[in-house]
Amino acid sequence: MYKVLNWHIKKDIGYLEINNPPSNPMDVTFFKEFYWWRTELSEKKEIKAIIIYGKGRHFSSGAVLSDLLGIINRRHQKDGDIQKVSSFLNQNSKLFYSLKELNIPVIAAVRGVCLGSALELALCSDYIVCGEKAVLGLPESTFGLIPGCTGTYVLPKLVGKALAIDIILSGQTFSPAEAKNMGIVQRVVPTKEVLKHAEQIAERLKTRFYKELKSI
Amino acid sequence: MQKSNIVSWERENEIGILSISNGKENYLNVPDFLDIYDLKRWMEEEGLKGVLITGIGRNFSAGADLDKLKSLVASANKLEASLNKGKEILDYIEDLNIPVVAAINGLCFGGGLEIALASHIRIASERALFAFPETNHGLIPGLGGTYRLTKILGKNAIELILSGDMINADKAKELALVHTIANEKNSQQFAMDYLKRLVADRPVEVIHAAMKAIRNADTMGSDQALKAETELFCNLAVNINDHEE
Repeated sequence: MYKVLNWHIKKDIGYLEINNPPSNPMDVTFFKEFYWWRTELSEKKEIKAIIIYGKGRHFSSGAVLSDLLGIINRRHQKDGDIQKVSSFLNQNSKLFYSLKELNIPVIAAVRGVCLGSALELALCSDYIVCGEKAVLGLPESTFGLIPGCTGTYVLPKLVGKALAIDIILSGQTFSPAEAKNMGIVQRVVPTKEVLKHAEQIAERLKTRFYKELKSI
Repeated sequence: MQKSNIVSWERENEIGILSISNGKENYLNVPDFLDIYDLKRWMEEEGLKGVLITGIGRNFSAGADLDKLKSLVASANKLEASLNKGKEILDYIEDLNIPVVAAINGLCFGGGLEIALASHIRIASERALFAFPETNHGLIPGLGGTYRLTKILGKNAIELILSGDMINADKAKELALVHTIANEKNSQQFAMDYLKRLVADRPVEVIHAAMKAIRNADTMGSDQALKAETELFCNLAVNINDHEE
């Protein structure tokens, strides 16, 4: 039923796989399916934790710029009203941020590239396990934009203003070790063991988690 | 170069430099260490992408001149008016939608630390020293410092404020009070290079949008901030589309 997302439940853990390899880009279909998943599937009584990961070598390369610019342009030309365009697009931010409304822990298992909106999604989870060769960053400013899917809100809360400005304005990628230093990721492990560690953490958190831990 | 009270202003292309200059220690004779109207005029200059704040000579600023402060204390009304003006200046700096980097050499005490805290990014020399000595004199930091420091340091702010003790650059880095330590005596060139690198390839519109969005994280709840972020994003995106047509 899904094209770019796989969802399966094993015992009491839900696995959401971004399935559009090799780079698992977040295109229009992704946001549509993510919405369905979030509204219809993510909240089931039997699920006690969720792990989000990418199929294959990468987590995700982030939003597809041409898709986004296309949507904005078409809507803007039709309505002539940037507010309307914006409130339409704002649904994606709400969607990512709504992971914080879940009563269960969400763990992002990050391998390979995790850039732009992909990092924004990971930042909206409660715990990031990161492969040691992962590449992280918010490169939006290098092509004339800013992070537009929760990044400018969540990142400063997490790392403070100085680091947030540095990361967002420089647009430079950073390593998992740097990310751990800054408090962006919680655990760095060998790439092959990322999912295993994510499961361990899910097991440990699932019985003791309470929603207030999500507040940032 | 232009002057306002003890602060001078000059441009190095896209970057503006605010230099504090008052004797060896760069004492702030009054909390309103410059005229806010001059400051606003400078900040509205064309093509400005970033601001560097620094102290002339070996120190950033040792803070208030205690004798001057005592004479101000004698008149409570005057003191409050002067503090409010000082606060207005620092709030204005903090709210700027271009990055403000404080390059900190030597002493950064009291009001000097308040100025550094209102800046967005602090870069220190190896020999920089930080303190809020106010409690030693029966006072507390009076320009928003207690609030700003707590935002950055969390509970570690309590010790720094109540003890009045100095901390060095390494400790300040460990506490995340300082973003980077310049591996040279003078942090100014290092901070200047850093700031230039940060903004060089970014159009002013992108810098403004990023800074506004990051500021919103401080002042708005999630609903409002996320909405504002998308709006800022869309405005930039429409511009990109226009350019490509």
